[in-house]
Amino acid sequence: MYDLEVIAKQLGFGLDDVKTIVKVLVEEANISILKIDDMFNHQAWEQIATEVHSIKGSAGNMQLTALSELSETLEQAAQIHDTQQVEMLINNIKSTLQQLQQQL
Amino acid sequence: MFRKTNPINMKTHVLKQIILLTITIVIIMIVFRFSSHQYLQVFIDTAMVIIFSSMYIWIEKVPAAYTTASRIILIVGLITIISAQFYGQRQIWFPPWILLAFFLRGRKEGWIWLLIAESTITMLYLIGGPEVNLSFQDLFILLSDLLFIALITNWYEINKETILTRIKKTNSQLEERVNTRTQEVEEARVEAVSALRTRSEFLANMSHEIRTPLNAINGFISLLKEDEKDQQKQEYFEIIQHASHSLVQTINDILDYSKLESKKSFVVNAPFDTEEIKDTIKLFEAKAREKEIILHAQCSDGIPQYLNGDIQKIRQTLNNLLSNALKFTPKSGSVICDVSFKEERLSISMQDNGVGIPKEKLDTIFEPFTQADGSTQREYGGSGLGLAICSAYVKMMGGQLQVESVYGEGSRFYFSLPLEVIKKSPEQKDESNASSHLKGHVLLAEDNRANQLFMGLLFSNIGLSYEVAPDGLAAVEMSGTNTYDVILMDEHMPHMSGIKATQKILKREKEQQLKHTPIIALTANALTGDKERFLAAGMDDYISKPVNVEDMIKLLKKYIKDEHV
Repeated sequence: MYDLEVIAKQLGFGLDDVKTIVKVLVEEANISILKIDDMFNHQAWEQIATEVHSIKGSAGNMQLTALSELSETLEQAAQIHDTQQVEMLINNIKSTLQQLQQQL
Repeated sequence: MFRKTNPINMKTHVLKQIILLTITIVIIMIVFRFSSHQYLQVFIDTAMVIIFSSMYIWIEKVPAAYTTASRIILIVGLITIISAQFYGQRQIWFPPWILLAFFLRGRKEGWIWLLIAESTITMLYLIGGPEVNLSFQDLFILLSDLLFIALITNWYEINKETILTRIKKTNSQLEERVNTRTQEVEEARVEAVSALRTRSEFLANMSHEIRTPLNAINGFISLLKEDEKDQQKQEYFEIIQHASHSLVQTINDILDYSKLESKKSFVVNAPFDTEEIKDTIKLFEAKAREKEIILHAQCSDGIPQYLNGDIQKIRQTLNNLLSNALKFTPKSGSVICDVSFKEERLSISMQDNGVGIPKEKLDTIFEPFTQADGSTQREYGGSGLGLAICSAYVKMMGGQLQVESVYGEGSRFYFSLPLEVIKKSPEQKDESNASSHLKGHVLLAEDNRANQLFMGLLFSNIGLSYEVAPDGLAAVEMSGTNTYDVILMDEHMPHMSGIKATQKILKREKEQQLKHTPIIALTANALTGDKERFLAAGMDDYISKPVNVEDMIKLLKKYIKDEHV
């Protein structure tokens, strides 16, 4: 899904460094998504937007475009309280993280 | 493992038996010719059986167990022959022996031996004629002996097969057990490694979790201290702050060590100016003066200006060794820090005339949670992790931290690292490299660990040193106690937002008439009006995530001196 070697080249980092950062990113994002799940159950839209904002930033930095874009869309969906869209995006982010985890 | 039987071996075995039987028969024939005494015949007859069996056992190198088994059969045979001799019933044992032979062999070989025996006797009778004077009873005796011999030899072969099968079975069972045990051991090892990693990760997370509120405590103490006019309360705040800083240091050591254990610590090589090493030593001059210790830095002339390596880790190792040397050296003592560069290796040595380390503790001094003795911890404090971290960092960078010490006289810690020399003559200067190498110290206010690592790597790659504040409060506190060339401030952070932290820093700068440290907003918010919002809050500039490396360098160059200029 993601070519970490290409990402490492583009960023001018070593492949091991990229893997380490992405691993930490996935760990933190997994924690965030658990919190988001809980927030979604309580319809805490503002909090969802704030929490996913962090995933968006770190994924963007590491050129994980799909994850960053999904996070941005979720942030926007949460801001307009779009329940259906939010639920779908949470699931999409979860599976993206799972795929990313398998790549490491 | 064990000898396999095959058709060739079986043929050899049968051939051997035929030869031995022929010899035995010839001897029996001779005995029959010269002896007519019945008892003598019995003894000779039995002796032949024993001789033949012994020869067979000797030639075939039959193991002791079979020798014993053969002996039992021989004794049984002997009793049979003797009893039959006395009672004239010798022939009646003959059919059971044949049956037993067939039972044990279970194959055509029983028939073959019967045929051989019959043929031999018939041949003897025909050749010998009436001179041989063999009665039917004698023929039966001879036949019985032949079958008895065949039984002994073949019984060994059968048992050998059975035993080999058993050995094979036992062997495969053993192999299976060994495999199972190996698998169990491997599972246990994986489990132990996983447990160790989980422990380290837990420790790292806990340290992180503890450090965050501690930074909040430090931050709020700083704020309270600023507003407090009462001298007594100011002193209290200072005590709390001092204790809190010690705690942060201990937590930092634990965090560094757990990162090492969970393999989350890595070497980031980047070109650095060796002046940074000298600057690090200089930082300790004030502390040495305070303790009335002579700190002497000896930097040899051959040290290149630029080297490629992990200056963060080198600096941290140096900090730790210097801090220890000053801590354990008494008033009026001396600490000599020697830095040299020879054969592509940077050597650093730290010698003090402090308390020294007992000889028996030298081997364990680099192990975690180890100090020279319990009293050291009580008297000087510390987590006992500093040297373990230094040793691990030096090892990661390709060196080995070593120690020489005389108890009561002092210690010398030294190491050397293989570092590549970076030549930066103006002719070789590459425009892009020149533009991407800055010199300065940055405060990164960022709560997200992945972003901390990302930015840290980026800073190291362009030659900047940095410190991380995990939240707004920590940023306020750290910027008050240290000097930075620029502060990169994330917007969303726990305890205090980036905007609020900026306002606090600006307020302090204004009140204490301090030099302004540029603050750059770092946020994933890229909405219209965001930039204006940050600038209105007093921030100097703004950069959005995802961070573009070139844009970041361009922006930093506005505030940090380019070292090539």
